[in-house]
Amino acid sequence: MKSESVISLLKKLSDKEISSVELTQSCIGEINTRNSEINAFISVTAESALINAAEADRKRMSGEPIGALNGIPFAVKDNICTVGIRTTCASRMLEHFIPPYSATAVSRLTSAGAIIIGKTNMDEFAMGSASDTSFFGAVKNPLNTAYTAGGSSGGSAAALAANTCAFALGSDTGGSVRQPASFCGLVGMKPTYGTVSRYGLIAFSPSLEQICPITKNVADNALLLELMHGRDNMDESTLDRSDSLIPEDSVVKGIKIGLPIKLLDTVDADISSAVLGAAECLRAAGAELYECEFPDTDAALAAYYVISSAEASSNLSRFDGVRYGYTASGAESVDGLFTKSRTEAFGDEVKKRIILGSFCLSHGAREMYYEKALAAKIKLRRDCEELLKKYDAVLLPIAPSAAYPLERKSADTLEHWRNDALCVIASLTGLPELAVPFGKTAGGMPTGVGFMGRAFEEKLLYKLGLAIEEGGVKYD
Amino acid sequence: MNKQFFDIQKTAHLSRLSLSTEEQTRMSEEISRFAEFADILSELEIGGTCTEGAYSCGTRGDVPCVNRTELTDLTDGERIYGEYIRVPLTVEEE
Repeated sequence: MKSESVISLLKKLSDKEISSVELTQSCIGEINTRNSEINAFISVTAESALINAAEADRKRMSGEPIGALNGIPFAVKDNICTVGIRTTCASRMLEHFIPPYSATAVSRLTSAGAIIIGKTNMDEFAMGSASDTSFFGAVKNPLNTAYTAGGSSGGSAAALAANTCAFALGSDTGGSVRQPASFCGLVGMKPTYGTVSRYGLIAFSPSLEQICPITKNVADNALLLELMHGRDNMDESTLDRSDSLIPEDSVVKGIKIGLPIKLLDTVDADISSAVLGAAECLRAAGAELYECEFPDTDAALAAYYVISSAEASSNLSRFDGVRYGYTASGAESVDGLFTKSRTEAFGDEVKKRIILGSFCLSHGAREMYYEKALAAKIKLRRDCEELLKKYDAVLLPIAPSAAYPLERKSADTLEHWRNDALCVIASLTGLPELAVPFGKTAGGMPTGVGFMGRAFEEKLLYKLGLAIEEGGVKYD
Repeated sequence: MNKQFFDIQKTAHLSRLSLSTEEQTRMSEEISRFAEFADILSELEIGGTCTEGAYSCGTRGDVPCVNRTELTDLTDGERIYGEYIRVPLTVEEE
């Protein structure tokens, strides 16, 4: 099944060229071969996956009604709840947590017949962009294990790039699906805020995050988002969207695309070349390209870290050693139990963000940072609305570089956080952004580009993605 | 950054975390650097303060806003800001 898309596998299953058991066994074989090297999975559910695969085959053979994804194995980021399957958030705090329910996004996929094959590694509580803050160790890029797979959904991207599943779910708060997808030569979509239910996603920053599909191609991504999206009474922020997200074609003639050319001065030459190459490809296909300005990425980055850390400090206060997760021993008071449990179970990055968030919400600092960040968020939304009145979409880099060697990660927190600067605008504004692979670096690692569009216009972004997929340099 | 606000020991205590001296020094430096960077938010032209004085929305007058209409959206009484976000609990210094 190497490099096969979901749609191609569905056809083979339908034509009885392969069975779901064979497909699942193939994925388990790849996990057994690759996971010790890339550390993409925290938990593997081989036994239940094979049982579910056999049931999927039985249904198909007997002619019973089957779902759109019957027999397709997939991996789930370990901050997305799966009933009866350990869900750790890559943290010692939730090392043994088994959820009593599944996230709505997962339930919709399993109801369509998809089969969970395992839970993927990530940055602890999704805080990071290199998948190296995990309690379970760093994820490595399967395309070159000396390189990062990106983060925080690095395990999901690595699992898919290593052909251990047919697709994967991640969560994106400030680029956590788009960047690892880009680093691993895959497609990742952060849809408009409210498109996919967050019910069952363990909260880090609920005003920003969405559960997102990571796939091998654009058509798969559209199919999966179509199956996951929609109103959920368990998440009041979800939207009742009746529109189809699947593009009918890849015709881009007449589509107006803004290209924030000055941004290209801030990224590596390989990334700049990829964006310009994608622009050329779209122009050749009939799209109209225009140079444009782009909102201030420094202000967006500051607002993002203030807001997300503030929300994290509030959301993670529930982990107190009593109601959830790890409980420290030897505490002499209840207050001491809270502090000891949290101190022993949270990693360094999580502690840093909790403290930053608590500071941003504290008396005096709240007005200086938190409230100003909220105002900046409103301003960014207006700036993007103005921009997207002129253009149907904006073509931009996803990250300043392609995947980098693990040891090259900056020890300086602010410098490392700057890697998120290009993704956080779509996060803060709630707008959809699609990451699509396009070309390679001189060193052979995949490069990717992004399309940011108007709210609810995922279909148009998929159309643009299809167009560059057809005209681009595929990463194998 | 106005450093008088930032006290790593107090903030860690409010966050129910205990940090070693070395951790306190390192995180204090990192957060101070970020806070200095985040001062860019103060420099943004995101509108002035509300000059109406009525604050019918209940929001304090020093909340920066894009315009009065936006300020009306900041319904402090309900503690709902904008379209999506419920404001996290405020950690007030004791």
